[in-house]
Amino acid sequence: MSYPPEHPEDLLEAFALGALEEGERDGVEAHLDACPHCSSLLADFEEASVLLAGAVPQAMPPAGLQARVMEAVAALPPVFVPQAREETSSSARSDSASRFTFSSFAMPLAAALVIGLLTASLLMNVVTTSRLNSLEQERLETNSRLEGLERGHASANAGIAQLAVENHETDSALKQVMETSYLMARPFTQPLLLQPTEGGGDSEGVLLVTNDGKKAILMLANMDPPQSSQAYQVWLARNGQHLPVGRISVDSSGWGTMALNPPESLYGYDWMNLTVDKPDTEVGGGSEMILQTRIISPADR
Amino acid sequence: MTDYQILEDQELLVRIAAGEKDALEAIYERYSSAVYSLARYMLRSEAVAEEATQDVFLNIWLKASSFNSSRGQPKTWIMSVAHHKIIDIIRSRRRAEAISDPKEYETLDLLPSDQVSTDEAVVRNLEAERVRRALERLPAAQQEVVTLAYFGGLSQSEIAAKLGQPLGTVKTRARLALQKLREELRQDDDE
Repeated sequence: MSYPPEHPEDLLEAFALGALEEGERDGVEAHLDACPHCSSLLADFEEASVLLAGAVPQAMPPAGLQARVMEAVAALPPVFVPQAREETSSSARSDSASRFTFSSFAMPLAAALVIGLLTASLLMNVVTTSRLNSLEQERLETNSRLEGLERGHASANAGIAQLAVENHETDSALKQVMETSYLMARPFTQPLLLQPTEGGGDSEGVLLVTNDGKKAILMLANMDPPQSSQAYQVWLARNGQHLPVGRISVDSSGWGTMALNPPESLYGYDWMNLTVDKPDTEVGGGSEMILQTRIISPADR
Repeated sequence: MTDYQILEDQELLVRIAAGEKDALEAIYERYSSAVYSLARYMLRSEAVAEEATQDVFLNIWLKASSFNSSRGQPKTWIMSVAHHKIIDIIRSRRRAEAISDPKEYETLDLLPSDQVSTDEAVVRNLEAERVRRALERLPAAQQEVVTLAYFGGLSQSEIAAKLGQPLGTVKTRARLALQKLREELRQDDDE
């Protein structure tokens, strides 16, 4: 009887001695699973080789090793646990069909699973690295946007604060307009014209005063806008004494309005003067006078 | 309740293949000493031998369904699984340590027998002595090939290179040695 050349007969004694390289050994194992002839030949060689195993000095394994083995078995993933099946008879399975139930299915599956997991972990590593780079880029961009937003926020806050100031100014201006209108509409309100002095140019002012002299509105027109942080100072004067009663600002078109609430009746004073307000100006002193009016009580007219 | 201690090896392997852990425990109790002794001798380290023994019984658990009774006795299969595992460890360790000259495996007398505390161990040591005598009766060239291969973990081509002999010569010596060993031991049994 002749055998196909793929029968690894010349490798069987080396297989029995463990003298094959791993690749050769796997090939022979696979062949043995399906070839009773080679299995039978090998049985003769292994009968001898297994005796060699018994030639070594005998020793007992440590007492705890059995428990460790069983723990290791219990810790195997479910794919490594053979499927329970109906008990076979003690004559067991020499037929090859039943031998393929577990090892020929689960082991390749497990190997594929392991390879798959390794590949997946490598891919995940690459993907994760790429993702990390991308996240770092996003983080930088986000930080940049946040800084922009913070600047915008600060700017918006400043804008809101400015709006509040402007709103307050608008309210004040509107209130002054209402007061002015009201005063002008009153039958006994006295308008006094402030006229320019030397250096006053063509500017002028109107002072509206209530009958009792306790309330007044000063309006300026055609004023030269003062330099920044400067305003015009309003004075009341009598008997050579000057009393500052307030500061009045003008807008870029030369208009300005303010309400006056003097401590006593305006009619107790002789003059109202308007000077440029300078920080170092002495009270009522020699700063440049712009406008002036003589205060005349209604009774004197 | 199954009494696994009274079951034949072959039945135990069938039950292991079916996932019965008690069957593996029974196989362990029967073969752990033989496996551990071989591992301890070949690996020259009790710690590594313990790890190897654990791996062998894990392999038995995983591969039990591939046991084929036409290939021989369960004991032969179990010791073959063990021997292949131990050789894998030796080779990977050799690759790691670049050791290629396992002189210490050229005789069998390096490691004294100990822990002969049980009757079973005494019997096995007697058998070991019998195998050693059979091995010593082999021609020196065959004894050398068998020792380098089986206990040293060298492949046929490594042995050929080491001995300066053609690969075919090594194969022939291995085959003749195994045939002669089997005959010697059968004769011993007949005596």
